[in-house]
Amino acid sequence: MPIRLTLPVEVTVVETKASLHYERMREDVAKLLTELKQGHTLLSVFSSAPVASAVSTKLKRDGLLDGSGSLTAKSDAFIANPRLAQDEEGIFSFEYCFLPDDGLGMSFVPQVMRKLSTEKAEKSRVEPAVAIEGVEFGIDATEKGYMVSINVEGNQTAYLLHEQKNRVVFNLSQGTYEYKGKRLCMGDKFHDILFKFAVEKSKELFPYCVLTEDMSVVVLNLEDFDTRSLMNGVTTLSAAPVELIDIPLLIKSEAVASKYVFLWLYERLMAGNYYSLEEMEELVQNEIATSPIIDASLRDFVSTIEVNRNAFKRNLPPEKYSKLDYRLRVMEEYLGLETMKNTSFSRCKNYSELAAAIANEVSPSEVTRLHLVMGYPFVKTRNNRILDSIDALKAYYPSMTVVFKKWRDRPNQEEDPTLRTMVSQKGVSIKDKEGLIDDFHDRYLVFDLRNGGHQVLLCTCEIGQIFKPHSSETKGNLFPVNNAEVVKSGKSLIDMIKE
Amino acid sequence: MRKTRTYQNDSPLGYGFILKDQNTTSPSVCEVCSKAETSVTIVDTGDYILGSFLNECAGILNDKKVVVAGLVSKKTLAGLKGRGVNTGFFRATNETVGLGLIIIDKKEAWACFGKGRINKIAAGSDEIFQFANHLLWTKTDNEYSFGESREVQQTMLSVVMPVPSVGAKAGSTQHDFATVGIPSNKGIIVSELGNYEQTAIAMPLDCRAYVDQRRLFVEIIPDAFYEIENGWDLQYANSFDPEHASPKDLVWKNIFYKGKNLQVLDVETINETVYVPVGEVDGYEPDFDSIYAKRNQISVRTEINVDVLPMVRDGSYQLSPNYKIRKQIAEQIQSGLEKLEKLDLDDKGVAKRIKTVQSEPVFEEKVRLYNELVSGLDYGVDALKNKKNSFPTINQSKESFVVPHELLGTLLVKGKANYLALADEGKLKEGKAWLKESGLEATLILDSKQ
Repeated sequence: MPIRLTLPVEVTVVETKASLHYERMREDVAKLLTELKQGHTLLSVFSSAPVASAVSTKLKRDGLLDGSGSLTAKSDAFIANPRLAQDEEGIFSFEYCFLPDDGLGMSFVPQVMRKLSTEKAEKSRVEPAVAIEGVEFGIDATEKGYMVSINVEGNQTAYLLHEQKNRVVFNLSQGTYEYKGKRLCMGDKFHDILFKFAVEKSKELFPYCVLTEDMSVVVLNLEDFDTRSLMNGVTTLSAAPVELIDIPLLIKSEAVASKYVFLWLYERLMAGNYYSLEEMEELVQNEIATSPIIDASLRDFVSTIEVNRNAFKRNLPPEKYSKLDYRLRVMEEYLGLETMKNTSFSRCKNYSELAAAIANEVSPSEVTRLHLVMGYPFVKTRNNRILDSIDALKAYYPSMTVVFKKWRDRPNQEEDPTLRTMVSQKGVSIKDKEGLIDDFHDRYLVFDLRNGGHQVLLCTCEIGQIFKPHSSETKGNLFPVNNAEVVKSGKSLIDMIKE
Repeated sequence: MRKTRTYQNDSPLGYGFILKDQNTTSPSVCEVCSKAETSVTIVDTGDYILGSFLNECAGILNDKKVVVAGLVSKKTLAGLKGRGVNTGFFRATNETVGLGLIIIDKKEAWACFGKGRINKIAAGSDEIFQFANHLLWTKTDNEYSFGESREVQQTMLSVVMPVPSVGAKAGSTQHDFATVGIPSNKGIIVSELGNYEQTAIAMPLDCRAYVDQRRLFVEIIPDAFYEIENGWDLQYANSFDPEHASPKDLVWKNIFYKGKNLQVLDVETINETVYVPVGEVDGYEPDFDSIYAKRNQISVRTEINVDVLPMVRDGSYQLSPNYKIRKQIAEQIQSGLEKLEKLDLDDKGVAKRIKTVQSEPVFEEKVRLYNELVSGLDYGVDALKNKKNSFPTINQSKESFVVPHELLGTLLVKGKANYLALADEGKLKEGKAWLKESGLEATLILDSKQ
């Protein structure tokens, strides 16, 4: 997900006698200090008293060892950020890059040579600019350093060798820039300046969104984004000098979130999927509210969005709604009908009662394994109480498997890895079955029986979400299904979960 | 000669039906569907409804307020686009429902039978809708919906099969007995429960059904039977009493009996003509029983008249090959005799014998004399040199060239059999004698010149 700035620069090559202060990355020194911290001595590391002594002197001079040869506070900081200050005096050839763009007007030095140019150009006196601190630069052909300062000594004169115009590409997501074939770090200060510049520029260039500090794009208006970007949750926007490539989208307002929910459902429905209104609300809770495109502050809001035809009409553009209207009325008319009211399962108030009711339907003594075939077993929502359901069911059915019905080509949800681990730690095996959801819309409890047969209960929602949030009321139900019914295009669910 | 026999049929006919004029007050598909305010659900795996619906109810299909969901056969689904359908929610199933169903607004169910009959289902529309809806979401592979074709992606078993409570569920054996298949274009026979023989009626149904106190119940959900309003009117035939009803009880009635539609007559006359060989007319006794058994009619009294006539020559007979052979033999003899006269023969009496042969009037005798002549010849030297073998004898049997005198009749063949067409009936005796004398067997018929 690169954020790139391509900026014009005016390159000025200056030659002068100067003192150059910079920092050099010394991971070898950091490694040595780490070894000393682990109890090694300089003598044991170098096996030579003169070498150990010389190194000791150098480290003490740099403040990395105290007088007694122990590590200092500075040495700890150095291990974390192993930059060693370097001072050099001499004749240098500096390449200053000036950023003339509005609001910037500053210079950085990407390249220093420790010798004068052989160019026979006419020289003129010049006052060197101030180079931004912390920017990595190249020294001669192979070395690199982080700029601290350049001081033109005493009454020395700096000469301008030549000027030229160039373009430099800054990768703000990586904090690097490219100069003469080298990839160099921008340093925090320069990065901050350029990132703020990019944000400001983006406001002008892409007025329908906001580039945030954590490098997301906040969506202000859905219509300005193509559907594919919105569904994938990433976008690419480009207008000189800013390029935002595969940047995560973020929705931070309730109005946009509402529109996004119904656009997302529209896309799913137009692809030939059918859901009851209740199931659409379940999708909203499990797939949209948990999606990274929805800002964390809006998750509760999105989870409570009610799905009905009027809400579609309010939130979708009219031309989209008119395409969907007939489908919606079909789903409204034919799906989600409460045909199995008031069963022994729907009357349960908690998972203990539910597990007991299930055990009453399918005798635990006859069962060798229970497979929970679910679509959102590990979804990261507060409503997901799969652990409670597993605890209750394990009292009756010790051998259990969670079968996760995964889409073939997209994630179902934001998965909570902790939840997956915790389920696993309860001795429940987990099977991810890609493509199962393509054929089987519903959720099932499949029981392996001692006699080699199987018994199937259909669950109208996730077992971990069968009770309404903060309530002892069931929102879903269970009922037995004939084994011959759980077959799609000649493929049996029972066979598929055992593959 | 006319021969006559009369049969009287007073026996019970056994199993059969009296056909009725059909009540034609059934509403049309469009009349039923136009009541819808929210939805029309159609189950039509047997093509009872959809043709009429598409022809007559385009307005309902295109009404933005009413959704139309149809469960049809794969063949019907494939043809929807070609019929210009570009809306509605149609899915195809391999399941077979033996009647058509129209459910209006999920609450009023209509049953559609053969011959365009549509009757309201008295009760249980809720569970019938659930049944249709269950099939729609769980037993379908392809859809043509909102003008697009695609495979059905997911089975949605949460749309459950209802547990029938309104639909009466009597013992299946009893229902099997009550519903008996008869030829498909006649629908099925339905009877009062447990009273099959006496109360059977025929209805244009393709599903299991029974009647109870003149109320019709048809199977819609497997093993669940629902009452059809005015279902009794569907009957197009009811059985007559198989043990007692005789033709006398059914005179002038249209009946369905032994696979045929018939009208029972009081008196039926059957006239037939039989041709027999000349001479057998008087003694010929027609097989009246066989004629009676083959008749296509049921009647109280059946009079069978058989005109027995002699067989007469027609174009189907050919002249006997004897005539041709006879002619060839005659030519051979004539030519042989003429050659003999010119030969130098040792026996000088031959000339006299040639004359004898030539003058013999009886053909068979002429042949015999000729054979005798040529086989006993003594040839002179010159004749022996060149001509000895020029006079073969005639070896054909007599039966192959005998023919009757033209005043007696003509010898004919048809197939491999011989017929002697007599010049008139008076030649009967003579003809028989000639056949005996000639050693031939032939059926005697009359020449068409008579």
